[in-house]
Amino acid sequence: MIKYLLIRMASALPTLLGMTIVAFAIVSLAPGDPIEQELRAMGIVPTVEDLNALRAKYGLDKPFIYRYLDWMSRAVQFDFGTSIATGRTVINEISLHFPATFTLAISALFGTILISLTLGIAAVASNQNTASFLRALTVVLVSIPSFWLALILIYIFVFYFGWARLVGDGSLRDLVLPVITLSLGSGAALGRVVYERIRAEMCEDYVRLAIAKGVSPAKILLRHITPRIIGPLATAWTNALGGLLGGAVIVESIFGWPGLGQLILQAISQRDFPIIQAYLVFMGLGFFITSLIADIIVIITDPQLRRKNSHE
Amino acid sequence: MFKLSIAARLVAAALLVAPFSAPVFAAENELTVAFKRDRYSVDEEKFTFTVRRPAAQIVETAVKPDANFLPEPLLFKSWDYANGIYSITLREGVSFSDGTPFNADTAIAALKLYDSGRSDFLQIDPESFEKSGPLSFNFRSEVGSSLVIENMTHRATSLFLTDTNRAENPIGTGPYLFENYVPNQFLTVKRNPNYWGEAPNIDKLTFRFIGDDNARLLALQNGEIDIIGEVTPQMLLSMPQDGSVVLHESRPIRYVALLVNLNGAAPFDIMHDYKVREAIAWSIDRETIASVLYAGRGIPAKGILPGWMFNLGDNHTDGFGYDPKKAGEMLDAAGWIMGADGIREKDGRKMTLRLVAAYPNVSSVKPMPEMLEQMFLAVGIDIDLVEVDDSGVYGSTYLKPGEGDLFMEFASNNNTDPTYLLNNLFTTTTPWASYQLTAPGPHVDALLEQARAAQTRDEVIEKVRAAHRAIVQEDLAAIPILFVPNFTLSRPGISVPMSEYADWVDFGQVTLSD
Amino acid sequence: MNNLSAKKLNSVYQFILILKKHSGLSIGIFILFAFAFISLSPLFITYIEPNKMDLLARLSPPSNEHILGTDHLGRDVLSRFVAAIPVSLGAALFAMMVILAIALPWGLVAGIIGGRVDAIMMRMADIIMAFPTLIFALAIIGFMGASLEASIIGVAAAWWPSNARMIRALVLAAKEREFVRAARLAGASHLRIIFRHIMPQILPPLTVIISLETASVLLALSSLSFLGIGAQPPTPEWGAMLNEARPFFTQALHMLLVPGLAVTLAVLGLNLVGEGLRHILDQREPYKW
Repeated sequence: MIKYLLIRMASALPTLLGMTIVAFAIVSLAPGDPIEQELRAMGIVPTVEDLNALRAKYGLDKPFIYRYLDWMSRAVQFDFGTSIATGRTVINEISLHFPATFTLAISALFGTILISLTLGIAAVASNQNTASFLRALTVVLVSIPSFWLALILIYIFVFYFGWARLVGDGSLRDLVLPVITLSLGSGAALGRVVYERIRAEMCEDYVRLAIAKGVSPAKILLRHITPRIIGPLATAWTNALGGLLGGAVIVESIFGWPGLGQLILQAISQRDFPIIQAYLVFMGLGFFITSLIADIIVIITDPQLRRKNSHE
Repeated sequence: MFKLSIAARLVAAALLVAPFSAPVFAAENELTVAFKRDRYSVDEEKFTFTVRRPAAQIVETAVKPDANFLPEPLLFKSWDYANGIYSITLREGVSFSDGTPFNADTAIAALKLYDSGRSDFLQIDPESFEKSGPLSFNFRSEVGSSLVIENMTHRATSLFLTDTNRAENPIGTGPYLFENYVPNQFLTVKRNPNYWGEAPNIDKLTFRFIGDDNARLLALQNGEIDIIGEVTPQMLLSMPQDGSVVLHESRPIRYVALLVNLNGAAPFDIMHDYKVREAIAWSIDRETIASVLYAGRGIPAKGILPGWMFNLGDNHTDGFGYDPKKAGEMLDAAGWIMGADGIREKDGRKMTLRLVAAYPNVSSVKPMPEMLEQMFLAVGIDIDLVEVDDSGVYGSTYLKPGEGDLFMEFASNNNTDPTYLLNNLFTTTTPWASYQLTAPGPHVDALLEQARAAQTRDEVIEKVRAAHRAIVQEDLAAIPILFVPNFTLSRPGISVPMSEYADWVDFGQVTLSD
Repeated sequence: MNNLSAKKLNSVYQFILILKKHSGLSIGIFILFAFAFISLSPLFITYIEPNKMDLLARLSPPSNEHILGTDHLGRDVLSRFVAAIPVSLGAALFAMMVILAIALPWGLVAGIIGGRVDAIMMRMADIIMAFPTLIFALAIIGFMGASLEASIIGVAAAWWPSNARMIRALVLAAKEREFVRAARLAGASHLRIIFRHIMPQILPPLTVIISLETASVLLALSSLSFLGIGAQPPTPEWGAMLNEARPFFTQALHMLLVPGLAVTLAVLGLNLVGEGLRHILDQREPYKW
């Protein structure tokens, strides 16, 4: 198992490296001179020496490859530089915002798992009409844009009923609406996956045998089907987590949830390079970690793979 | 005699009890003000934490702006400038909130701390500080500027106590004390009981940062905040008209103008002709624009610096009216003849102008670009409208390379240096590299250079007036449209003492009447 | 006479049965055709000019004159909704074509050739896939300035890797079929194998992928326009209309509902078609428990 992990990490290294290069390239080639923006904001009339000094400070006078290597050498020591906008270190900024995003993503993941299991199992287990209805509901939920759903929910629950508030400070009760928004969409999408998986298994011979033996549907589901589908399902769920971590930007911004989404949107409009670069790398790392976890779950739950890996 | 002594004792007893009978729990006045974003920086080179945007009034500046944005005593009691030397006398009886007295030593230390940063409005020569008494000292400007005191009205030049870590525990002489700060969420300050000046009304001020404009307005309507300190024009268009949201305004300060690409290359060279610029200036229906946008509180502009500022006066520019017929005639005279499709032509070339909207972003001027498009179409000019919501893209994709004819800007001279705006936008030697194509020429360069070198205030203002007239009238490098006040929004029952400058709106002096 | 009408009735009855069996697919196709039809309706119905501002009638609710009400500039919401159909759906379809133009050759080459080439190609796809779509698109737009074209390119650049992966998976499965292996052993060239053997096999599942992915692309494009970095005003586009509706949604809910429902229905149509096609292709019936 350890060997598997090490191999996986080693093979992911070039990908991560490639990601850092692309991230760096995107940020450096983007237009908008941050020096000028900064000066305009400071409102002073600088001399040419000031401009050059500023350029040198951010290393903008050196060619791309030097800047990249310079940044990379510090990045591996977890020094991602200082935010141009606030003067706090990038690590500090990210650690201020990450917990909120993480809480949102994990809660949305629970919501997703709950909703997808409910929808999927209910669709399989019920009669024709309810099943059709549930499948229709699922497809509709998947089609609703999340930002629109967010606004509708705000209209109903903040404005009309007054049950929730708009100006949050990251406390748990403000979590309800954003989590509902995120989980409905991904829950429905994964409900489809759950449904399909169970159906696919139901076509297999061992199910036919179990039915012939007179085993009850619930038992078939729990004892026979679940172990076989838990692997792919967990993969789908962990991928959803990766998507939630990165994709909740709009929802965070609409609900004022103080997470990484707000950080990155601000950083982009302020051309805060160090933050944008670190965020991209962070997201890549997150993606990598979640897919690693997904793969590990697959191995753990699939006895064949587990055996194969533990014998090496 | 006996009665008298009883009376005396009763009176004595009453006097003893009286202080204790005052209400023990005075209701604390609290106020929550919302801004768009936490713009504080703790970077030592451009330290703005609690100082500006928003100004939390923990620290104070040396001077404060009066009604005409001329400096008036605050921590400096009086000053004099002669032969390149500034002589300062400090206000007496002031101390920092931790008890350290405010005197020449601590003032010089604070100014040196400011000077060590890169954001250097003041450009004081740090070696030139000379203490001349317990409450007085001298210094010189590094560049021989006569405007150092004027620049001290900028909040960034506030005076801090230097022996604490101001990034974590800022200490100053101001009416409020630092209480709590969560980056990007809120900053709270509470009343300073030992403040030397007029005590504020509000005991506890909370500044909240709500990035999404719509959420900010909704929060006000929902009662979750009291005041919106950063109001977008979109909010003015969308705010409910039923009195549940109250608008407060200052005098007009921000200008909306079309900067002209005077030196650009083809195909953006139609505007090189003065007659064309003049015609465009006459085709703008400023009254209608003023009535539709900004809750109708804007006024048609004759320039980009308001007349009350620096005592510039209103008479040095004539402005332009609205006369589409006259504009048409001017265009005819310039050789642009109306074509069959309603667009003017000259030498086989269609009159198409690119209008890039806007600085800082198009949402701050909507729907003015669309309205202008229709007004220009009415005189036969086809407009290629480019709307940008990002100032970086505006600058580097369109303004700097000269990829446009007209550039719409919504900004202000938010600096007490009278030459600041004109020098940065309209000179060939501008340090703001994006603005090289909008410079009218060496004559304006010369005027502004003379203004910056002038040694008396009157001389400075005279040169600035001449340069301003050249820019908005004679050379028409900027076609003025509107002046707009500074706004705040609040719930009913609040009165806000407004200022043209966001940093000088004194939220501590807000009165609550409920 | 009787025979003919009986036959007709029979075929109609058969048709209805088919519709019922593939109800999802039918509804999806119906929705898409309806959108196409409505987008062509300006040819024979006169709508109010979608960009015409009537500032006196700002924010008015649905009325006789404005069937779906007006927006904050007094423009007719119905005509903007209709004018937006070719813009929003067109952009999504165009983006999908761009994605396919990259992903199809990429997946085919990687799948057919295999080995090192495959590994490298997939590695490059992985690198791009690791970035969140939104941020990638924002970066591209940073280069090009906000516009519908920039958002299409941004979405295409972020989306092609996942499609390339799916196509490669299809190719790998198709490659293993016996007749394909036989053709290879017989010495058929790569190109011949691709066009005669692989493509016909992957085309049906590819249509499923196309319609499902177009649905996601449409959602992504409207989120970008919603953030103000896609279609620029005054272009009518559903995402942009939603963005414009935000400040006013407490006063003018119709401004928010119309474009939102439009996006939902369009995405729904595409999803239903994709699901329906997949249903037809996968004919396995589960054993009834």
